Amino acid sequence: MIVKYLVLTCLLLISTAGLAQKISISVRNAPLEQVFDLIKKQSNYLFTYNSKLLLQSKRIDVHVTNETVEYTLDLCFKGQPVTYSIRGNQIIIKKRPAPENEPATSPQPRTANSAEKKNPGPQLLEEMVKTGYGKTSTRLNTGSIGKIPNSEIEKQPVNNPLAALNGIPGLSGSQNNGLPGSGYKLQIRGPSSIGTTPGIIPDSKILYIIDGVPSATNNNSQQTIGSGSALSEKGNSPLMIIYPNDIESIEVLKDADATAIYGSRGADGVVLITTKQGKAGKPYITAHVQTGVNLLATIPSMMNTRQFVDMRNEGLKNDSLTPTLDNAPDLMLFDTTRYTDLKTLLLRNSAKTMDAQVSVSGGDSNTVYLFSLSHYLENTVFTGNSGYKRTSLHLRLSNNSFKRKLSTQLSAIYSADHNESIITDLASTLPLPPNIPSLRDSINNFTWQQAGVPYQNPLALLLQPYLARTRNLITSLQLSYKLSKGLQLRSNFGYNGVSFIEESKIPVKSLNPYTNSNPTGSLFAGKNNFNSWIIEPQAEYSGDIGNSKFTTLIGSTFQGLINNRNSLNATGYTSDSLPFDINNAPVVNTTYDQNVYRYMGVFGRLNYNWRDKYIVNLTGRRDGSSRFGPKKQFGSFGAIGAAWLVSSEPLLKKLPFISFFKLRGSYGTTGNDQIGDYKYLDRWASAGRSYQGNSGTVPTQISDSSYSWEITRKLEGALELGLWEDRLFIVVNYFRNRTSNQLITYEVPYTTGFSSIAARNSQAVVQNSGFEIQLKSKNIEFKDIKWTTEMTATIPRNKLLAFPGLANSSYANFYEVGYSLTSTNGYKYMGVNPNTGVFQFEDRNKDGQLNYQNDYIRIGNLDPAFYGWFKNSVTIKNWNLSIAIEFKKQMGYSELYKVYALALPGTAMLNQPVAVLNRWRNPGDKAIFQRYTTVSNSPAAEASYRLLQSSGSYEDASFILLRNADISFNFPEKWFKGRYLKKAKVYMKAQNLFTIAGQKIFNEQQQTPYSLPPLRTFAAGFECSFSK
Amino acid sequence: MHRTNRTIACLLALFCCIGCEKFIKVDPPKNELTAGAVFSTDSLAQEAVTGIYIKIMSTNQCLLNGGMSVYPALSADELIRTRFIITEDQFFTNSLLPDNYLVLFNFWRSGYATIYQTNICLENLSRSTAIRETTKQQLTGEVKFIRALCYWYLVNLFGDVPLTTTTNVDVNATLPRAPADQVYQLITTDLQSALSLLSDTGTNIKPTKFAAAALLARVYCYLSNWSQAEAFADSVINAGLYTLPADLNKVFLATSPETILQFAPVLNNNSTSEGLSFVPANNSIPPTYTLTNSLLASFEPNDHRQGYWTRSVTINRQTYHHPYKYKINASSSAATEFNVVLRLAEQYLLRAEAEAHNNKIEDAVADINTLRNRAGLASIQSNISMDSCLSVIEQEKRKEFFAEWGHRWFDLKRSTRIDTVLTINKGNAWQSTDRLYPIPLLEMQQNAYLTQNMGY
Repeated sequence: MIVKYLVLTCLLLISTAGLAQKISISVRNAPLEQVFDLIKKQSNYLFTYNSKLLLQSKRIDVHVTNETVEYTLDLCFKGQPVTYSIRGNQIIIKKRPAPENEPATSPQPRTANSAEKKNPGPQLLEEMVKTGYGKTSTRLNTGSIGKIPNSEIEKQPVNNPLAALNGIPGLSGSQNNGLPGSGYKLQIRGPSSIGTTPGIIPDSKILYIIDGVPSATNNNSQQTIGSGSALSEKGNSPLMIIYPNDIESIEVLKDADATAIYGSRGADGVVLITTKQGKAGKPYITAHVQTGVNLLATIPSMMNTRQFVDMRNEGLKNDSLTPTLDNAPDLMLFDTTRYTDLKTLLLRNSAKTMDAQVSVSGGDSNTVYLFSLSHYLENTVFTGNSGYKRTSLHLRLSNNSFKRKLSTQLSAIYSADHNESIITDLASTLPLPPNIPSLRDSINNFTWQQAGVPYQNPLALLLQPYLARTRNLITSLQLSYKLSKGLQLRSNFGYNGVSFIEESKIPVKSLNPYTNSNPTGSLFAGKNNFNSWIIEPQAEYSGDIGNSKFTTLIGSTFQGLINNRNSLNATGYTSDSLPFDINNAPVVNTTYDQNVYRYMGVFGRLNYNWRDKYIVNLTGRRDGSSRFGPKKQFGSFGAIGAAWLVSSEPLLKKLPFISFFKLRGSYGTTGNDQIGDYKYLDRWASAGRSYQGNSGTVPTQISDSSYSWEITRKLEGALELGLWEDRLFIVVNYFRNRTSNQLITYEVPYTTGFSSIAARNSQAVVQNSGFEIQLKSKNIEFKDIKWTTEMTATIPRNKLLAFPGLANSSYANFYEVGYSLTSTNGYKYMGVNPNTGVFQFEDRNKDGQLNYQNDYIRIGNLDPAFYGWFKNSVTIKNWNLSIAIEFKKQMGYSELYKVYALALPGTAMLNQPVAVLNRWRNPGDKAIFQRYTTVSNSPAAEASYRLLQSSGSYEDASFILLRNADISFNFPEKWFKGRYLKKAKVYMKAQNLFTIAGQKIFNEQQQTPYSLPPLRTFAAGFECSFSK
Repeated sequence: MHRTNRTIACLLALFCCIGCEKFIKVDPPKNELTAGAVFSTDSLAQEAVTGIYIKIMSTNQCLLNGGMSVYPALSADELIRTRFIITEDQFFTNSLLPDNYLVLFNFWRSGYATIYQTNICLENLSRSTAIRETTKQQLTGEVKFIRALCYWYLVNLFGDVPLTTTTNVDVNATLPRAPADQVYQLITTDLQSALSLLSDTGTNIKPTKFAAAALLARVYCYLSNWSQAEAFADSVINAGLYTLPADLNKVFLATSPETILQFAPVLNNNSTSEGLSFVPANNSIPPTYTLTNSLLASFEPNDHRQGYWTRSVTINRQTYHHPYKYKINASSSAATEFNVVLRLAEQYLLRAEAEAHNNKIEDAVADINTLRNRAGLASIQSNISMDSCLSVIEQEKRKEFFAEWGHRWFDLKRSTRIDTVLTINKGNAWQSTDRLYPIPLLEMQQNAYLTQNMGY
């Protein structure tokens, strides 16, 4: 079973903030001399030793990325009969003196297992993970950090890096709709805030950091213009601007130990995005080109004309009405035999994608560079010409100088995207009647009415373009200087500039002249600029005291952000013949606002490591933020994390199948200031319009300047277990986050003049707890065949722990202590009454009336019961196949809800999904949908209103989704020996391939029923690398 | 090593001692003001009050901008909707549900948003020392009038309503409904105070002394305080500032001499909410709202109000009659029609009503005839009883003020005949409790102290 082969890849990286140059080595079962060679090649150290000394040394596995030479040497010499010392650039190898507390020689028999166990450690454990202001190895990490490396990202044909975050326990994400650039929501460890609108949980306030620079936009909406866009809620997803394949790894920091160093910004978790670095050596060129298609997935199948007309007639009959011109224009005046399939008219089945990148990297032992250029194209499934384009440039330079004391690292990403879309999601027009008259007349003009009945012409929506363009520059400079042994001074300087420009047009031609007597065109334009800078001076000192190592870090942050938002609405264009130019517009309304954010913090970390056995990590931070009113600006946060590597204890060495066993835990506080700027002020702004030439001002918010930091107390305990040389690796976490002093836009009744107070601390304490389980297994590991399996599962639980004063607050009817935030109050749904054909609900106090005071029960917990991933990767010779399956057990909005929230089946001019045919018709029928109705005052209409506030609004919305599949073939490297071409690979990958779900009518992951669901993506490509 | 230590010490000092508080202090947004600054000069305070009018006129079909002319007219026996929209249909079928968003947004929220603006202006005006006394008086008068106007409509739509007179959010968020008497108390106090603060002259696009008097006349009528009602209506009619134009097509023009108070449009379509709601955008499309047969039948032959203020269109051999007081649906040139809030004709009918109750039937009939004659109808005889005089007034008011500010709905509500009239028109679905609209569900859920009206 012992794999007697040697895979050798060697990378030299000169790192960001190393004491000296840092190196990366990955070897298995290699003799020490070979490792020395590698170190020698990539540093200017020389080795001095007597070859005889090495005869007794063992072959070793070393896997380090971007580590110091000292660290690497420590690993190499662990358990060896030799040790080393450094003099200048000389590394001297000598015989290891016998340790005082251990017998000089081990009498144990040399079994395969014990031999392996003395190795420095398998690959998995030495994998580096980024932490706040540093990095650590999986082995020594005290916090909870999930990592997605580039090898996972590149398998996924996704356009947004957030969509690539597959399989991190505790993390859930969803895409708003299937248009490129639409928003992507992420949540780490459950909803922590009771939020603005009772019952509607707000987005998580995750902090996004790209190469050390906090994203100026985070994942917040950038949209400024009044017309909105088909991209829905969020508008263009801000992080989509980063090209996924420029990313080396994405780390998700979850617990207090990992996030407390971000203090006030780490409450909802931190996502660190690190871009790729260059590799020293001759110029190495890598290029890939990939093309693909996006296919339309689940979209509601709507009734045809026959079914629609029957529904309408049945509805009228149910209401004892006869069709008249008033109540049934769609039957009396439209051709009831005409049929238009709007789905095929408006949506294409597929859209193309194209992705290409070329990168060059190289350098010598002092300077390393990487430059890449990429371009991405995606069309949409809307008819018409909409599509998305993105071009990205990425540059990374690192340099060591002054005898390797000064290290400089520059990173710059510049991306520009161009998103051509339209204002309205075409899928929203699916409920138009299927017997809608011909949408174009004999001379190809739009039609708008038939026999005096006006209707929406969906084709006209294609004439209402929406264009969004983003320019994003993220750049950081990291300087570090080694002042003396162990002491390093460094500073990051970062800048993020975002310019987001939008434009949309509503031409006269796209407006119904029968419902607008004087249709005039309008133009909307918006500019949203962010300029953010950050300076973070730091000092780090590491040293040894006896058998223990410690590292201290102190630093501070100075950050500023200026956000300028301009929006413009020009109206009154009487004709489309003139260009839509502001100068031609009779009326122009503009708005402008500027938000200034200043933030500073002082932070520190003390990491103490006793013989790699006991590790304690203390972090603390004091923050000040301009988002708070006077005297409330500062807050302190801190955490303690600890790990005990039980497998390093002699006791456990007697259980040879346990290769690694670590217990870790952490507790601490983090905060949140993401509430928006100036919320403590009573603000007045221009009313935007004039009253007979007089301008006016209006109050824009009610404030309460007493609010202060939101605090999340995070507790975590975890067990990490490696069995059989870590062939099976298990991590089990328990976490418990308690968020108190919640900083929210506080909902109030409108008698206050507004629907909410701009910012206030709620008394609610919300707890998110749960288990996260991660299992990695190397099922088969031969030279030519490898099979690995990874499974993650999260079992979350959300609970409102306490809410003093809830009963008299505006949240009283929505939340209940002891229950999940996602649950609510409502009637108990009892199905369709077989006699009356109307939805029925439980009258709990049996007073013959239904009202919320007496008959509500707790309903609709939408927390997932569990969710997770099941991933498999099989490599056979040069072939690799990977499959990732996502599963989620949860309650969601029911299909009944989605149907009735939009319209009553039976009402005029509104089509319904075919599934609604399963309705009540005659006494005794058992049906899912109630009897059709066409009026607002029928019992069925009233029941449908209650349905939306009942348990009938929720049902099992679990799903199993084949989220990703990837197959690739690497051409054997021996083919390229002596050629410029060094590597070549062909691959195919697919996303959202196949779903098993209980909900059939609408896409199970979408809450908005008539919007474009996420698409099914296929792509194939070719990658090759050249070098001399 | 000493040097190192010194460096560390310096760095620590750098980290800790930079003026932290100074660094994170940011100025308020450049293009905005805070409450203190808004009331620091006369012209800025003027802008804050103008902001009230702009906000009122920024949304169509709302409490003080057109909403009252549509929805209560559907609830009463004036209008029918030709196209089905469930939330509007609920008004027509008197089957409003507490979650009806029109009740919430167009009436409740729209009303309380304006009331908040008036309260914040009143608080700051009384606090400010920088504003000239005359400006302060003028603005306070205007604002008090607007607050009274809002409450008058809210109390008549909903019955008892929360009475907010401060901007304190914690007070306002937990208010129970105040008894209607108390609301009326505030309305009369505000109007009396507006009456004394405002000048008699001035543009009619803002409240004037006579606007306050005119509204007081209405309020006292509703309170059955006939002598006060008569006196105030009298004062407006005899002010000599307002006249009834003979040409009914001119009554709703911005230049109409009949108008006591009107709000100017601020939206880009340069028209009134009523024009947009009632006048079809295109003559080949049926109007959205049509007049009921009972209203059409109530007009005597040759009543100019039917001839000039209604219009019919025939589409597919079906004839639709729609309100045509305002003539313009939307326009690309400057507005010629404003939102008329108070006009002289009402004062004649209010005075007639008060006079009838004060047993001055002859005077009452004279006032009725003033409007009848203008409408091209013959005078009626004055030898009638008080009851029949009052019923004539109700009929005349119905014809004069159809589809206008909910006059008909409110007149029915305060008469004893609402159940009879609406059962005839709406059938047995009508329930006596439908006369008050429901307190919006969301509002109830957010304020534990609110109670619901009967029947919801």
